[in-house]
Amino acid sequence: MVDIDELVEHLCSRDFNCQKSPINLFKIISVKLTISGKPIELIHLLTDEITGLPVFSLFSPNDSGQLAHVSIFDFNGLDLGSICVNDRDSVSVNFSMPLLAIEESLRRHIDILTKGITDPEWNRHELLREFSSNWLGVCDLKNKRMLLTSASGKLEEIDVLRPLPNNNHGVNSYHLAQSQDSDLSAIASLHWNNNKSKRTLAGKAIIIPLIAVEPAPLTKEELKNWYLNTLINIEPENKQLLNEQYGRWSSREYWIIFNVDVPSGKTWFCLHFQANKKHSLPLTTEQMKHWKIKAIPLRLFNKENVLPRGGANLDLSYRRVALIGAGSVGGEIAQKLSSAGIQNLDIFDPDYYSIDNLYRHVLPEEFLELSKAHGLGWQLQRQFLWSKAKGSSRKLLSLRNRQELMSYDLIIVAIGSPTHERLFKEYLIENDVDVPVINTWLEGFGVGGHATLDIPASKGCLLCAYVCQETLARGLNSNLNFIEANQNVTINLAGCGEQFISYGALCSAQTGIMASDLAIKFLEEKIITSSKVSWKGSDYDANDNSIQLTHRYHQFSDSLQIKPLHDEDCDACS
Amino acid sequence: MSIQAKFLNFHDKIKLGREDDEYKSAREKDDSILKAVKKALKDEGYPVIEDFLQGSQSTATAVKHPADDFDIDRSVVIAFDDAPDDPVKVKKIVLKVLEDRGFKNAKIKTPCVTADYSSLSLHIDIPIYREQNGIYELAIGKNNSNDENKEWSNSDPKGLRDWINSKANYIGSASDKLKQFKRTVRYLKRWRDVKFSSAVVKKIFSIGLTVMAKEKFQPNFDDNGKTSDLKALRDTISAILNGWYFNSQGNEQYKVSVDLPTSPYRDIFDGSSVNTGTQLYNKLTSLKNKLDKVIAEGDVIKQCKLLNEIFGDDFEVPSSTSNASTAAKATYVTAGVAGTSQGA
Ligand SMILES: [Zn+2]
Repeated sequence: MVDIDELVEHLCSRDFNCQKSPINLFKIISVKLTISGKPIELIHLLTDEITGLPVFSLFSPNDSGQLAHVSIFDFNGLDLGSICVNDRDSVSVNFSMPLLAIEESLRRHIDILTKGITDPEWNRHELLREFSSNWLGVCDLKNKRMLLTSASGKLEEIDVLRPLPNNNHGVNSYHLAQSQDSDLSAIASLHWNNNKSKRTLAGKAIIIPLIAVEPAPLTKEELKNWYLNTLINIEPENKQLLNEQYGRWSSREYWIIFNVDVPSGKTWFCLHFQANKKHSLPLTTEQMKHWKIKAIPLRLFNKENVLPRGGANLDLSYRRVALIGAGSVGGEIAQKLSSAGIQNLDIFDPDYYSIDNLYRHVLPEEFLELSKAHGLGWQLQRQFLWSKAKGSSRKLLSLRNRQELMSYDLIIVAIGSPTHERLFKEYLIENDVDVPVINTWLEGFGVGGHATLDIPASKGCLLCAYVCQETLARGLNSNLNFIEANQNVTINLAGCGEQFISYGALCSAQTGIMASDLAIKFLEEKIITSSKVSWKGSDYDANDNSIQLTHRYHQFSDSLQIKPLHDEDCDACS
Repeated sequence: MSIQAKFLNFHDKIKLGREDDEYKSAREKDDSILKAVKKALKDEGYPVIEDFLQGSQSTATAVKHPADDFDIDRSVVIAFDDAPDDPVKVKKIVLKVLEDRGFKNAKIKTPCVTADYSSLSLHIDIPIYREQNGIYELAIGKNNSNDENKEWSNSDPKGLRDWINSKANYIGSASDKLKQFKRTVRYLKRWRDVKFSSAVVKKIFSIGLTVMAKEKFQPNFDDNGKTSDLKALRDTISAILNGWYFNSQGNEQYKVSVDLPTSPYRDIFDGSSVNTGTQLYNKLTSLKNKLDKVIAEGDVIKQCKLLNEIFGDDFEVPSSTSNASTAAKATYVTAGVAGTSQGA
């Protein structure tokens, strides 16, 4: 720990008015200064070890008015202002030079306060931008949280259901406010047990859109007035509806869920009203007398709010994708596409999930003996609540149906069968099916995996990846392969029908992620020409098994980089 | 279509394989001679224990040549324990077979028995070996040689062939690289046949070109495994020119010298003239420069025109009206099934 006297001396030498706390129990220093004539006092509690940006707190924060990036917390009965300098984890601190680290942090704290005090416009803008985190400061965190599954934010009265008894985690532990037009997947809704027979009705919530909002209140005591002032920002039309239709229902409990645009986007927040007797919704100072008001945490649960948190893209929700192959690569692709926001995913595979698959497949054990495709569809709908993934036991060659294929925006083939894939490709050519197709496969011994994207409207096709590079004729093996053809690459553990190509779950996952990336970039229109991509692994296992690798393997250094697919000697393309 | 496709067409036209139709009657003749030779040797108590081809037929580097004979190097081997002390004794037996079957110019040369079959443009060389425990000895000596000049001489008849066919130095797609090497040799041979006077052609030994090309071969596959015979040929020639085969005699004159890579390690061009060396050096240099031009040229038709000047009319120039890249007909590899490493 840095020596407190040394620190005080250091800061004083830098012209700070710094003193150490008279109580020796706490290693606390105080720094006094004035900003725009306002006296400010910052205090710092010395720590044993500097693991992040040293923290200074604002003493008597209520004296400084409402400042952006300052939130009030209770420290042993004392109100202190916590100053959000920036994301504390996003700085790398010189812990070897603690005096410098503390000094620099102090300057950053002062800069933020100075900005808020001297620039009121910026201060207000920032307060609105961080509305929801400030709102949490006045929320009653002990209260059960509320999940809202509405999307539009229009004026609406909805039922609030209580959590399921004895549920302390998962979505069943939340109060649930669910509007009628929920688009959650069927399986997800089932899983949520949100039917009224299980959850009891707690009361009514009213969703109210606001045209503007003031910065969040600093203290819980201010909530009542703040709420009444906020009602001014309701559009007259809605106000009328509110007075005449909604909120007439008498109840001992009410929730109001506001939504409003702030500089950081649309924000939602919730107030809870409780009365001893049944009353209608309080909309005036007079009515308010009967009610106790509390701010409670609200989690908005709709696609627009949840999907982007994982990087998912809402634009992808309308695209239709067929995935043929639900093996270890296909399973990974299904998972990744769903997490990216693909909702309309049809999965085809005739295989059943077996114990042999367990260690290289995304599905858990309870799906054993179920069709892989159906299992995946079920699993995806459960995890990705807006997923409409469906399974089917059909295989690639039985999908040779022009009309059906034409209904997709993208077809992904992850079956690792060059024969079927080439047959399917010939069907597409002969029947003029111009749907883009991704073919993906991996090779044994961890040497790598590949994916091609065949966009019929552009140069390059799957058969470009099958031009025999030696004779320039149509070949039987892909020219992307890293393992030379005609070698024994299967491992035979238990006799005929039990051979398998030796590859691990990591390689499948790597290949699946690479193919998914290609698919998403295509669907997002970041790629508009036929492309190919490979990843290259090590050759340890191949060497151990005397497997010969191709020239391409030895030369390859473009792992995961997307390259043009076209081969000028492809007869199908010319 | 790529320039590589044009090279492959060219290669198809010039390559001479033992199974080719052009070769059919010569091959049949060879087969029947071999049968007769085996029978004759067996009848005399020297059963043939092994026979094999040497020369370009054994390394798939032969090219067609309208004016020249088909060369067949047909080695026969008898057991060490059966062999007579006098090596010429067995050569006489073989000579008689050839004479009896109407060959012209049948004679015993120091290393082999040789004859022509003019109606088939067939020239056949038959070296005879005895073998014990993998050690081969060649029957040396002519009809009237005295005893000092007749011997069973230690030899490595398969060494050169195996050396040429070796792919040990190629990393990745080794078989394809060996095939590219063999095409390169054929291109060089056809270039020699077109660019040198017939008197000089005979002095630029095929085996000399083959050994230089093998020692200096620069396979060319792009990162995707796509072959470029054009670049491989150009780089190989460049490496040959820088490879110490040409000894300056001053005044821009050169002698060429290439050692056999296997026993007896002699200089293939031993006794070759300054004229031969200088011509070979200058024409290889000019070939390299022309290939650089071809590489720099972007238009396939123009590339073909330049290559046609180098290799003659077997390197076809697509007419500009029937576009070089019009719909190619689907061609398929000739394998019925290929083992694959693809999975998912
Ligand atoms: Zn193509």
